[in-house]
Amino acid sequence: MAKKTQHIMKRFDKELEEVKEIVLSMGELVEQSIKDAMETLISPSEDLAHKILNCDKKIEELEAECEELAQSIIVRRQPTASDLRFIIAIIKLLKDLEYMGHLSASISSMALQTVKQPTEYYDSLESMGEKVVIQVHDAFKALANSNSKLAHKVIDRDQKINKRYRVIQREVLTYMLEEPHSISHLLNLSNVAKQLERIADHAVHVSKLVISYSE
Amino acid sequence: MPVNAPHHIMKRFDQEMDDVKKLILSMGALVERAIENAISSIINQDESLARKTIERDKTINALEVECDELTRNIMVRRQPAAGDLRFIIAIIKLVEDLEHMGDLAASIATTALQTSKQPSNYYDSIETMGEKVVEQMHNALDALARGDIEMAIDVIARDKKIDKRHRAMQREVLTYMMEDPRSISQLLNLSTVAKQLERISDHAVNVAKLVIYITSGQDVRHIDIKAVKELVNYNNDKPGKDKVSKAPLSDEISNEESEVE
Repeated sequence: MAKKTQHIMKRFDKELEEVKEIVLSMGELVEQSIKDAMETLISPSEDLAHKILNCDKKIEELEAECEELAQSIIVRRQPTASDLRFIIAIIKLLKDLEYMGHLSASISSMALQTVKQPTEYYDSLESMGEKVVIQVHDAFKALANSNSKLAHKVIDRDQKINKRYRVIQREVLTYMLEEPHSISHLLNLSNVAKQLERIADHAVHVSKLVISYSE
Repeated sequence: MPVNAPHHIMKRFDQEMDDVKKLILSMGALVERAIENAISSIINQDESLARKTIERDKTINALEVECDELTRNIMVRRQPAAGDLRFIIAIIKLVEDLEHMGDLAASIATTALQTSKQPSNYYDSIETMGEKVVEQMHNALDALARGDIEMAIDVIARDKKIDKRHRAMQREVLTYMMEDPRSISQLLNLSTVAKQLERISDHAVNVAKLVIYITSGQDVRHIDIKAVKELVNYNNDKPGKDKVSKAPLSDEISNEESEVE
């Protein structure tokens, strides 16, 4: 009987691992999407934009797959305690992944609509983009290793991202005042900064969810 | 064991599910009010209302924590299946949408504190959009309370108009910015508010989709409105399939009970 229980436990662990793996691959897709989106800013490319859109679709597919698996685990395994917290956290953070995918797609579509203008502003955006990618990367690293310490780090670092975002917005404002005819383009770039900031917010939310089951 | 015991145990499960329903609906009511107040604080330059709204967001967040605890307890102790599990999982997601909406309302209220009302036609557009968004929110919650699929479908269908309106507002704000560059800073803030209203509406659509999920078991997250309608009607016609009905939350649960072995 004990051996059978052990066997069941192993399969259960495997299933939880499977869920985690799906989420981590979604995280990788999101990370790549953000990098690609930022790349479209520097060199607008229809191909890259398509890649990002396909990525977004893939993320949705994986989301559905993962959720089905999570629900099936709940029904068949009746998880309790930290396993339950884990599954619930996964169900919640699937939504964050979906949003992050959409935001990347949104960034790339905005990037396609703009003409590359004030170089300094692009540098600021690029720099912010890099920081946001790190946040997303670390949030999912924390998830992979149930590392609440890293999760806390991501949350703390968000202050800096918000600060940087506010600085960028002030920068945009000065460009708008200098060149009112560029306002439309600058608005697009300002929106890119907003989307980046929102992606960062989702990374924070993912981190909070990691903490909810690993502490 | 007393004859009444099983009955008593079922009743407690009922009670717990009822508590969750009540909790989510009161959270929804608070969020609805927060959105209304946030918009009002912008339109009317009401700093005191803005501060109240920001402060009250804490209550909304506290309800999220409470709801999460309740649903977790139910899952552990009652091990719900079928429709009850669907409901609990929907609540777990719903609570997130509501909490986001609360955050957005608080954010709008914060903007009210940062801007001083300068004459601008843009406020009219914000007010109109605000009314439509509050209506969406209200209908979504109504649909949730009454298990009303038709109402839920209506909320989903109307979202297109809200998106259209938002795009028009973006074009509008651009013209105001170009007319008067000194107003750009103010208008950027208001444009953010418009975007946040659009996002609140998106969350209302999420709530509506979850209502459909709860009452019909259909996951309609990634399909368009036409397909949603077809899906729901199709299931109504299928012989032997559960009839989709306008079941209020409380009745829905007691219907499920009779199916449990």
